[in-house]
Amino acid sequence: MPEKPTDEELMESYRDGDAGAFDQLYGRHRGGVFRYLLRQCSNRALAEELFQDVWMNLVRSRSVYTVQAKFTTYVYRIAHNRLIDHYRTQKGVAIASFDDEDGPSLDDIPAKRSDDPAVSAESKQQAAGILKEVASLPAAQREAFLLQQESDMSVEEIAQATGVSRETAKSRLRYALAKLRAALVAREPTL
Amino acid sequence: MSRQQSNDFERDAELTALYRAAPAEEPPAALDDAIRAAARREVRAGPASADATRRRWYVPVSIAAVVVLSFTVVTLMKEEAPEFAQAPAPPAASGRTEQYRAPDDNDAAALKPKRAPLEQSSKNIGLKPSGSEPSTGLIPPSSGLIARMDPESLKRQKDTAASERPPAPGKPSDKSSKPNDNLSDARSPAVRELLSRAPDAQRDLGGSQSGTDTAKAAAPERQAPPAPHAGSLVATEPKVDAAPRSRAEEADTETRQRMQAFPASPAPTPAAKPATPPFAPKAESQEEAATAMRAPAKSAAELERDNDLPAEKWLERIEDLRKQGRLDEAKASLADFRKRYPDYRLPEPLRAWGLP
Repeated sequence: MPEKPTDEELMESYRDGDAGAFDQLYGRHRGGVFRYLLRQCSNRALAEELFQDVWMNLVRSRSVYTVQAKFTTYVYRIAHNRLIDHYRTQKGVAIASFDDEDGPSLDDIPAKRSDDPAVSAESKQQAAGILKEVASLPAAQREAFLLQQESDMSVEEIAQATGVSRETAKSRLRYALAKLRAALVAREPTL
Repeated sequence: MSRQQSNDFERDAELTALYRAAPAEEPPAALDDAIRAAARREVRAGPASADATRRRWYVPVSIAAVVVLSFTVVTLMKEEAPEFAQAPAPPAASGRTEQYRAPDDNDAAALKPKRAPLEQSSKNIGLKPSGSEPSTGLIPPSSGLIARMDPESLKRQKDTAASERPPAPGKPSDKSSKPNDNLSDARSPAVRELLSRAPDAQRDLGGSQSGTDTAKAAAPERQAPPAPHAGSLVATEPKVDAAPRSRAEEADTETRQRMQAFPASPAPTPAAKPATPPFAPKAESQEEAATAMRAPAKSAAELERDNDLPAEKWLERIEDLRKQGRLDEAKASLADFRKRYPDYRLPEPLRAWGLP
């Protein structure tokens, strides 16, 4: 059974004129990129517009594509930049909130919950609520969390995609997780 | 906190599970179709592919071009390296090198044509050619200053020297260790002229016996060392094969002392010129001869020394002579300079002053 081509190989094939390779690539990442944009801007119409721009940008720049990093890093970098451009045009909208210090200190972050069967029973109910918590995160922390969840990026790749240092990306991710955990713990009594 | 603990902290499985359990929004199918169609159009447009191929080769081709160019340049430079190593020395340095170079037969040949006009000029000013005049003994033949310019004997001497001369061991001593004719040839024309005039002028002095006696007394001592290439040359440079420099300097010193003791050769200052009674009768009738006599008394050695100077220093010395009023010496030195450096651009005052 032939191995599935990697994202980078598909993108190179598309660069060399294989339209089918693009279809495969698009099928792999369309959902993640769309949700990343949708949950960052919280506006479906805007998210669709940005989503189209991101992919059209990738299509137009295919001829200069060279494998320098993972394809996911490449495509989410385009999405990140498109978001930044959008924020810039929308004056008054904060590009990103970097007030990481506003969150709870790392000492206050609750410990991981055990794999209690009761947790899985609660999860479906909690799943609906977690998106609200994600939306309430500062933009930079939300972005870090979304990149981790949607594209399965490591801290280094998140840093690369967002153009920050590894430590900054790590810090953002930690604060995002800590806030979400704290929110889940806070929700438990009500559930 | 260990790295594993850190990663566990950064990736919370429970949160991930909860997030993935949340409704997953998808882009509308129409948007998918539009994007896919645009991607296909882009592929069908085509040129991007060729363009991409071209752009992909930009960097490697550029690097290859730089490497090839660098290699070519380095190779060419290596081939031309010997030429760089043999770059011509600056004029002053070459002049200095030349002055220490032992004169050889080529030099003698090059200087030979200049000798005839000098002899001719000495005839023109009423002086007999030195070769036809017997030595008066006024200045000892071995003083190193007076070289008789008998052409035949010079030729014989040169032939002997050419056959017997050993290879020059070192530059500074070479000059003094050369045979007399070569030394005479190596001297500047002005010095040779002055030296050739000296015996005749001294002969004209007639009755100045004191100098003659002194010279005669000194002559045997100075002729004592064997002169292997003496030939018909009466006057020889000190034979300094063994101790070249010290013997030559000693000879010059002695000659200078004798010349100073000799009343016919005063210090060539304008004030001293008329105070030379032995010269007076002849000098009045033969002005040029008197000029010739005034000059060599001081300048024979000095001009020889001038010859050793670099061009700039030499010109400074000429200027000094001018300022001191020693115009004859200055002119002789300037003429010597011009012969030695015919292409040298003289300073304006000297150029105007030195015009005949």
